[in-house]
Amino acid sequence: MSDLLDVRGLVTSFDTASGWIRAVDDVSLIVGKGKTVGLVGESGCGKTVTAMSILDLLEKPAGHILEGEILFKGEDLRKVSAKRMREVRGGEIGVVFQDSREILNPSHRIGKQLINAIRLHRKISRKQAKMRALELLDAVGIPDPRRMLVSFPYQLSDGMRQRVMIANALSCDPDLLIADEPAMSLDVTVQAQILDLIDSLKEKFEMGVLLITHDLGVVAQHCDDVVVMYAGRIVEHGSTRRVYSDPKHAYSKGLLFSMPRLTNVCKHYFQTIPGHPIANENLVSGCRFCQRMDRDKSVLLRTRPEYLEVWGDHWVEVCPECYKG
Amino acid sequence: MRRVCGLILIFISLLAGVGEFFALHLPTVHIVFAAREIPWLGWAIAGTLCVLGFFFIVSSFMRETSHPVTARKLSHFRRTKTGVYSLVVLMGLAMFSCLDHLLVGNEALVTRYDEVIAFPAFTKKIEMGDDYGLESHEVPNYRELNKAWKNNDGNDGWMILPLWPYAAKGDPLTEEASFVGMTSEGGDAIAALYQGLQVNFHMALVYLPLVTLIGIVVGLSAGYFGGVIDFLIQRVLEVISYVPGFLLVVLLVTQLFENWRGQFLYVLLAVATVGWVKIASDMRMSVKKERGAQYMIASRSFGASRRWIILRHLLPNSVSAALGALPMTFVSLVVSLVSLDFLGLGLAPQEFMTWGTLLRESWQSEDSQNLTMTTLVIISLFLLLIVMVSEAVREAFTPTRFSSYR
Ligand SMILES: Nc1ncnc2c1ncn2[C@@H]1O[C@H](COP(=O)(O)OP(=O)(O)OP(=O)(O)O)[C@@H](O)[C@H]1O
Ligand SMILES: [Mg+2]
Repeated sequence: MSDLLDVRGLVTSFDTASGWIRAVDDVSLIVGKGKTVGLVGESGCGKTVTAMSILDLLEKPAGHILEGEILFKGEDLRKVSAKRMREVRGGEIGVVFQDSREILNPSHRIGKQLINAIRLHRKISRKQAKMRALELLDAVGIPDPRRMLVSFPYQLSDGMRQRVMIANALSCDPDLLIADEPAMSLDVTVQAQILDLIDSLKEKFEMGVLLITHDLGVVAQHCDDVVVMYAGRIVEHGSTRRVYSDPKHAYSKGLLFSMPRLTNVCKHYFQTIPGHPIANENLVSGCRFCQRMDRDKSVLLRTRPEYLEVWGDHWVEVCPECYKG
Repeated sequence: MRRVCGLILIFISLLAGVGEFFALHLPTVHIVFAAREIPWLGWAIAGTLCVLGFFFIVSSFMRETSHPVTARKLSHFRRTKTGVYSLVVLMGLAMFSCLDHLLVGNEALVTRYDEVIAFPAFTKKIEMGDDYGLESHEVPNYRELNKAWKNNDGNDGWMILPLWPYAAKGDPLTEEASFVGMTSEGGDAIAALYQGLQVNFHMALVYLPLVTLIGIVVGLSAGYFGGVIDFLIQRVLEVISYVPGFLLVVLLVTQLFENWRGQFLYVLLAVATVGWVKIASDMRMSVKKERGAQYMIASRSFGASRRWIILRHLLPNSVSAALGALPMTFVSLVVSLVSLDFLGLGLAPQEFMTWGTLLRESWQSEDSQNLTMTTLVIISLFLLLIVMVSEAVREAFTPTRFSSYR
C-alpha cells in the first residue's frame, strides 16, 4: 500500500532581491493514512513553504518548486492537470492557514463562502450545503452557527475566523488535512477541542494529518510521527515516542530541552538554543546547525551531511558534530 | 430600487420596440434605433435592455441586505447634502432631457383638422401643408397655423404645441425669435441649448459604459496577469497619459477619423481613446492590491478555478475603486465635447446643436453676447453639479474611511 502523501526531495526556491533562496532544500516526508505527522522547527525554517508547495499555492512568479516529487495517493501532484489539481485542493486535501486574519473575503458573508466552497466539490443543492455548513460550524465549536452564516468576516474574532477556516478545510471530508498552526490564535481549551476534533475526524475517516506547530506539547499528544526541520532541511524524523525519548540531532535536543516541563520549572531560566538563526541568503551548504553554533570547521560547513536511518524508521542528518551516536 | 430600474428598462425597451414597429417617433427612446444603417442593432439593444430589466427584477427578489460597510458608505453619501442635491438635480435634468420633442420642438403634438386627429410630432410620416388646407406642399409652420386657427376662433381646427414650440435647427423662424438669438442652422437658441443638454446625456450613455468596460478589462488583465502583459499595458497607459489628452483627441478627429468628421460615433471614439486610461490605472492598482490578499490563496486552496476567483473575488472587491472616477470621467467628456465643438471639430452642427457649437457661433457674431454668457453659465453649472456628485462619492467611498479590513 502506498502512503497517502509521500514527498521526496522537495526543493522550493524564491526569487528575491538578494538572489534565489532555497527556502525548502531537499525535504522528504511521509504521511500515512490515518496518521498525524508533526512538522516542527523554529520560525522561518520553511514549514509553511513546505505545506504551500504540496498544494502548489506558492506566490507566483516568485516561488518555484525546483525539484522533487509530491506523491499523493501515488499520483505526482507536480504533474497533474490544473483541473485535477483543483479537485485535489479542498476536495481531497484540506488546508488550514497559519494567518487567519484575511483568510475570508471581507465582502461576502461567512455562509455564502462556506456554501460555495462545499459546492465546488459536491453536486448538492444550496439547501443541503447550508445544512452541511451548519453541521461543520457546530462541529468546530461555534456557539451560534445560524447567526454565523449571515455574519461578515470582519465581525468575527481571530479565533472564530480560525474555526470557520477549519470548518472550511474539513467541509469535503478530505483524505489529508494540512494544518498550519491551526490553533495558534485560540485559547487553550478551544485549542484542545480543535485538536481533539481533528483527531476524531482522523480516526473516523482515516484522514492523514500534517500538523505544523511550534508547540512540542501538542506534538507529543497528537502526533504519531515528528519531523524536525531546521533552515529548510529536515534534521531528524521518527516516531514521536522515539524522537522524544532519544533525540539524536543536537538541534532536536535543543528544541526538546527548551520546552518547559514539570521537571525543569524550578530552574531560573529555560535552556535555550544559543546563537541566532542565520539569514536565508547566508546559509552554507554544509551543516547549518554547525554554522549557527559557530563551529568553525570548514569541512562541516562545506559538505552537506548525509541523512541516514540510524534506527528503525528514525532518520537523522549525521553531521559528525551535531549527531553523536 | 433595483425593481424600479428593471421596470424602467423593460418599459423603455418595449416602448422603443413598439415605436420602431409602428414607425412612430417617440421622445428619446427612438435613439435605441439610432443606427439606421444596421437595423438589427436597434432590436439587439432593445432586447438586451429588456433582458437586463428582467434580470434586475429577478435579482431584486433574491437580494440580501447589503454589506454593512457598503451600507455605511451609502449612508455617508446620503448625508453629504450637496452631493445628494446635485445628484437629484442631475437626474432631474436627465429626465427633463428625455422629454425631447414633447417639450421642445416645432411640430405640433396633436392636431385636429377636418375631423381628423393627427400626431405630427410622434409619427415618422411628415404632415404637409396641404393636409391642413394650405396651398404649399411643404412642412407647415405650426406656430403660424395655430395663430391662424386661433384667430378664426377654432373653427378650422385646434392643435397642441410643445411647451417651447421652436426647434434647434431647420426651423423657419420669423421675427419672433427668442431673446437669446438664433443659430446658424436656422434654429432657436434655447432649443439648441436644450439639445446640447440632450447630446451630453446621450454621449454619456454610450461613453461611460464603453470606457468603464475597457478600463476594467484592461486594468484587470494588467493587474492580474502581471509580467509582460502588465509591462506592455503600463507603457501604453503611460504614453497616453503623458501626451496631452486633448491634443490626441484633436489629432484623431482631424487625421485618423477625417472621413467621418462630425459623426457621433467617431467623436465618441476619439474622446474615449484617452478616457479609459484613468479607470484602467485605478483598476490596475486595486487589483494588484487585492490579488495578494490571503483570501485569494485561500480560495485557491479550496479548489476554486481562476475564473471563479476573478469573477467572485477579484472583480467585485476591486471594481469600486475604479468606479469612483466615473463622475470625473463624465466631466472630462463634457469638457472635451464643448472644446471640440468650439473648435468646429466635434459633432456636425447640421445634425446636433451642441453647447460648443453655440459658443463658437455666438462668439463669432457681434450681437450675441447674451447667448455666449448664457451658454457659458449653463456649461459651468452643469459641470459644477457633476463635480459636486464626484466629490461626495469620493468622500464616502475612499477606502480609508470605512473598511471591512481591520
Ligand atoms: N514569498 C516569499 N518570498 C521570499 N521569501 C519567502 C517567501 N515566503 C517565504 N519566504 C522565506 O522562506 C523561509 C521559510 O518561510 P516559512 O514561512 O516557511 O517559515 P515557517 O517555518 O512557516 O515560519 P513560522 O513558524 O514563523 O510560520 C523564510 O526564511 C522566508 O523568508
Ligand atoms: Mg509558517
